[in-house]
Amino acid sequence: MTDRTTDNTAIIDATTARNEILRVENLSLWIKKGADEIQILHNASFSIKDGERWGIAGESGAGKSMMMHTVAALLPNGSTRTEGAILYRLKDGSWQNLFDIPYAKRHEFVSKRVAFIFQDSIHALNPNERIRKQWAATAKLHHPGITDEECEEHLLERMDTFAIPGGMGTLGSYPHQLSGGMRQRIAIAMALESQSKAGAYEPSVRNGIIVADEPTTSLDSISQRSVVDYIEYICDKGGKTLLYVSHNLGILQHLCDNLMVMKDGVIIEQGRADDLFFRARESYTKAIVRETLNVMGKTSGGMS
Amino acid sequence: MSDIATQTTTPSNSSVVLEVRGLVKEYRKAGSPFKRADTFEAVSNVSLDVRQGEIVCLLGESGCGKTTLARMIMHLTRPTAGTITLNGCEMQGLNERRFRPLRQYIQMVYQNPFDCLDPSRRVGSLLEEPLKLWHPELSKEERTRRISGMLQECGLDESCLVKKPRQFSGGQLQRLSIARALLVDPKLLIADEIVSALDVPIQNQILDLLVRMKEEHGFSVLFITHDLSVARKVSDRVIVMHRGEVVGFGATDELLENPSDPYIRKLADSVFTFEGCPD
Amino acid sequence: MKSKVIIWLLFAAFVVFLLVVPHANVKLTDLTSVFQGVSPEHWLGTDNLGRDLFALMVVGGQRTLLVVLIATVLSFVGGSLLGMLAAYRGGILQVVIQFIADFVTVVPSLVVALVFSGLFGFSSVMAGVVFGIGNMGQYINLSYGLAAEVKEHDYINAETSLGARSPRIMFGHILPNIARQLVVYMGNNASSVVLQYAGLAFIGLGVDTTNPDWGTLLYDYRIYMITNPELVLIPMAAICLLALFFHYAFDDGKVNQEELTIYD
Repeated sequence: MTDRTTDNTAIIDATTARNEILRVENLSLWIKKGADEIQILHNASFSIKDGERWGIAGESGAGKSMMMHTVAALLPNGSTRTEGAILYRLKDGSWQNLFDIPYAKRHEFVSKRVAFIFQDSIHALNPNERIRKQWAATAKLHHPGITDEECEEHLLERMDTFAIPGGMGTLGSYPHQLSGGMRQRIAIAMALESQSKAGAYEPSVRNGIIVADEPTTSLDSISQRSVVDYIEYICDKGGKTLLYVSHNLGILQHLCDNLMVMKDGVIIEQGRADDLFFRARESYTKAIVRETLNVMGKTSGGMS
Repeated sequence: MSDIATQTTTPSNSSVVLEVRGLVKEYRKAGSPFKRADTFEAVSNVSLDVRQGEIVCLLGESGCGKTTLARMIMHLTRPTAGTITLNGCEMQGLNERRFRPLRQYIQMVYQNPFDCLDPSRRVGSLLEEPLKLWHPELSKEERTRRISGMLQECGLDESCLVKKPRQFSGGQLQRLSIARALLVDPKLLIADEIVSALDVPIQNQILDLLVRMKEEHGFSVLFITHDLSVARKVSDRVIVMHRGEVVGFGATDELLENPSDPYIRKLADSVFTFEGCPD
Repeated sequence: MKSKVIIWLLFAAFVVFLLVVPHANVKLTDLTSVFQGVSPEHWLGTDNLGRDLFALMVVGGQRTLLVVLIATVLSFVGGSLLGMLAAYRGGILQVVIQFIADFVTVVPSLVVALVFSGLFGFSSVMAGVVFGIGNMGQYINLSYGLAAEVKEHDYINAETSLGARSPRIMFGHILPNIARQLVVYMGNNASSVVLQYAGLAFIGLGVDTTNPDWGTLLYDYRIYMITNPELVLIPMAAICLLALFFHYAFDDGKVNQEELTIYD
């Protein structure tokens, strides 16, 4: 595995000095179903640089969510088979293939680098526990050795960062006592604990990636807007890299500067978002652009 | 406020198919034996009209009461107060037996395509049942002919008849649902979030199908959705609901471009517009 | 699936065998040939009174099967219907039916059987009826739970709005969707009826020794457990095997492949 030094990338992209932090090479995924195997991903390859915002578009069943789960080491062991490489950039600049790490340790490795926002984030909250208890548990997981007072301070500081009002009152509440919007923010903040700094205990994760897997699919328009705006806010503030899975091209256009389109487990096209929205090369990409314009009532002269 | 939602953009001499006045649905929250239970109103004093040949959109977020309203119109729940007049006949007070003959005039297509057809039956038998019920005078051949005709109009073919619901995709199931509802020849079709669970290309197909069938068969549609783009695309007139109440109404484009109500403005602002060029 | 078919074919053969095989008269005692071992005239030997054990087992088997049949049919049909009705109709009907279910579950069937046999004399048919009613409570609860869940699905609303009447909805759309689980439960239930009936006979309600059941045999032969263990082991084995058979014969090992989902 060749080392990519920061010098090379600085020359290539001098203005933004972005490094590659994640590389996926020829990733294929099979799921075992009884005696058969079904291939879910076919030779997916892409590269993510620090600070980039990537949208992953495609219909349901295209494999977008599976691909993200694979990259984040969230797949069960027995029922899947993979080929290819998922390479994470380490602090010293070298690359680590996720598949070279024993299965049991993979999630630990990934959780220090990737914050995963699931489709049903809000349901990640335990209705029977106060917010403080749940959040503290997650925080302690990522900052081992932290004392209770330090944890409390940490939570309050995080609430500030994430614009969650209410301070101690909110921390002492149960989920059902808070509004839906608040719950979302807390759930997202909890998901981002791995990306946090806690005094002198653990320096902030440099190559932090946020993966959001269709986080607004089950929400209505106003809540959806609020979550998307929020994710944008977090990314702006922390300079995070974003991988956002959605079948809604409007959201992706709003949030992302790069885009990959998937169909049946294959990355059909990838590149700068504007290039795909306005000057797509593949007919499938053109088709989904057309259909999205159609459902918004704007036919652009193409057939529906 | 209650009367104004009935204003329409279609000529006012076209007949009213559905008339709802002052409809209320109250639910009691669980209370203790020592305190009278609190109530909350899922639907609060809602009035609206649907006229012949219209597509009226009921727009609102989840929890705003639109599904409760639809269930009351479908006589699946009793309203606490108010009137529902279908085809000139006031029906909210009728018991099931008296209402049943009216069921022919009003049908509903449901949100979850995977849940609206009995999984234990073949599609053919599910389509035959309502036809046998409402048109017992038809012979077996005539029934088969009608069913095939309707399937074709909905973009499906006869091979569907021997299959079971789980063998179909979401889009196909919605087509079947529409076909089934239209077989009894209703005057009003309520479409409850029928495309929300579908991918965008399929959404377009189903919406196009609905509009086409409406033109062909002449029924009216009460289209329930939370998606503004869909509302804009499909309906002539929109009624916006929030927390059980009607907060706005009018011609779709006008209302969403110049919203007077702050909630409607927020709703309109929440849309993610999209610009693109597919060619 | 194949193994199921084989099991049921074997069982059918067994039932036919029980019904047609010629056997000695169970009432015939012969004190000159007690405790005989297996022989061509007595396939399973004889007991303490010289009765042919094989004949005793066959007759006992017939009676046990009769009891299981009556009890199972009664509780399955009655319980499923009542549970479905309670779930679909709700209201006062539901309250009444749930009370009936609780009542029959709480009252011990054995006590009821005792009372009835005191009043009307003991018979297999009566035992079957008593167990049938006694076990109905659990069917009602199961059927109620299943039907209540199915009722919430949109396809039931759809059928209502298409004009279907209550009976059609209950029998045409709710029942087919809950039948599989009810049948599985029926297997467990039939299995426990075998044991309940053996227990009843053992206690001595089947006091008429000329009409023996497997349970009665266990009771009669228990004092010979050390000297002639086969007399105890044979009825015991029969009871266990039959109970096990019913338990497994209705099991639904097939997982519906289409219902497994792979998330996107």
